[in-house]
Amino acid sequence: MSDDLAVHIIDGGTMVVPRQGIFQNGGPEDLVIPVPSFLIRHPKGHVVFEGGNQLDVAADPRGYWGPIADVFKVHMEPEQHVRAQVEALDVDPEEVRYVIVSHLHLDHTGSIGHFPNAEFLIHRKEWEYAHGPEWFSAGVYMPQDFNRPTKWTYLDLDEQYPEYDLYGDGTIKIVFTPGHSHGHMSVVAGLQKEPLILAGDAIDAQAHYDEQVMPGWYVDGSAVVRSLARLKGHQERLGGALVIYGHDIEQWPSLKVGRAAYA
Amino acid sequence: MSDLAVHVLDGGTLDVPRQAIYHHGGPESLVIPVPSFLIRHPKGDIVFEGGNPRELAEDARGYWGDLVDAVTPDMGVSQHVRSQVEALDVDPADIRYVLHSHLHMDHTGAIGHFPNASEVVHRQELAYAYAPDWFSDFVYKRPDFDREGINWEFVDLIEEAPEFDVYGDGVVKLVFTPGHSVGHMSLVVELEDQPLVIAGDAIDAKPHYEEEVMPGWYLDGPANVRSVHRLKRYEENLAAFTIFGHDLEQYGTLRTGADAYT
Repeated sequence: MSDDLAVHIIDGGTMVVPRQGIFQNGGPEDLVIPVPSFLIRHPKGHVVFEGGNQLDVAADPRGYWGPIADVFKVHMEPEQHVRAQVEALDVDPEEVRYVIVSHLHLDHTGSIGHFPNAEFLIHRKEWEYAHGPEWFSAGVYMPQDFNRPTKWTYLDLDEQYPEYDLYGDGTIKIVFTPGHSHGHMSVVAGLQKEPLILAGDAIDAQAHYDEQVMPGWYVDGSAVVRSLARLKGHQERLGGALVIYGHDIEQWPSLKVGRAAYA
Repeated sequence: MSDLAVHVLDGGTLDVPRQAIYHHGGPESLVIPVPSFLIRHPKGDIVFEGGNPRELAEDARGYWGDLVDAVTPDMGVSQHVRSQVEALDVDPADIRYVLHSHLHMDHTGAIGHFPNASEVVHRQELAYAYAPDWFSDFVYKRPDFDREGINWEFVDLIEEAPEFDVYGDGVVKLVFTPGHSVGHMSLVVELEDQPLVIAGDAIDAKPHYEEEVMPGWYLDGPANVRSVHRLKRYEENLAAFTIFGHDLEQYGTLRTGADAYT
């Protein structure tokens, strides 16, 4: 494998959600949000981070999700599914070596079951919580999303040891960023020219980065703040890395998407 | 020497946006009570909760600033917890313990007003109050708790040991109920006729007890759920009545003032 290190942003379509799903007390009005994933090319093997929505959602959201499909309205073509997007970049899904799952909320599980030879990395607490959520979280975890034949590896990152250096070369670091969910993980990509912080839902949008408003969803508010600070630390150490937010439609048009990669 | 009894003390009301109490509840106005409690006990009387600080009855804007436009107090001096205790012919100097559920600005009224009391607070709550996350900053008012001469007594309740039995007789127990805040504590009082679970803001209102809607404010959602369940166990085991922290509808049905629970 001779691929140079690069990150492709994958367009996973959009969802229309109540504004208050992203911004605390943001009201019930419609907000369009992107649902991106990432393909990281690495000489030692390709990595997928995030997964967007499951393929089934493109075909029949209500059949697959049930009534929550009326609250999170999905706009997604089958070719926007993460596997199809990876193929469109001339990467064989069977050659993806790792899939890093930020968390198991329903709009982040699209990769599961679609990369047959990959080792799926998930935080142990996320896996456990997804199988026993409290009543208020039950709606965002769909067992059919993650109870699929998959080679799972459970990570036990914690506040004292919050990092996992995937290839041991500092280029792909998995960072523990709980708060949005119990076991949320972000990725820091130490690219040579354009280092990236792939925040996932640790930072949904710019307003959270700026600490102007809390997210519309969290399990632990203080952890959200701590995780943001952790990612800002990485950003600074990398000399002002670009932070890619989890669901920011305003940032989205400014990003390189698809074939035009960050390197 | 007094017989065991619990008096609900009227602390006036706050007019708040509905979403402060109910998750995604919208900006419409909601009036909530801000009660405190006097527990008569043979070994010494106890105050739980403190409602609003006395300063709000005198000059709300001077004390809270523009926050009064969003969270608007309606409170007379006679509704301050000290006045309320005096109105029940109890000398504030005779209060032995002041128990603090947490230190949000509408629960700090008792601090410094009972000169001989030990003021019991969860250690993490006071620590957090001095250094809150940015989004919690406006609910902690340093002048409320950063006062001279407070006889703080810290408790370190944890999930594995969540109970502090004030007199060691099983009658008045602080129960660790975090989630709403980092060191929130509720009170269980094993009265003879009508045991009480005084939830404080661990359960603001009935819909939280029913798990129909999450609170408008929480630090840790799962902890909040765990704490509600913890209190429900006390309620069931003691055949207790649960008093919610800010439920106007329930408040109208409670005995208040001289009419005590026993």
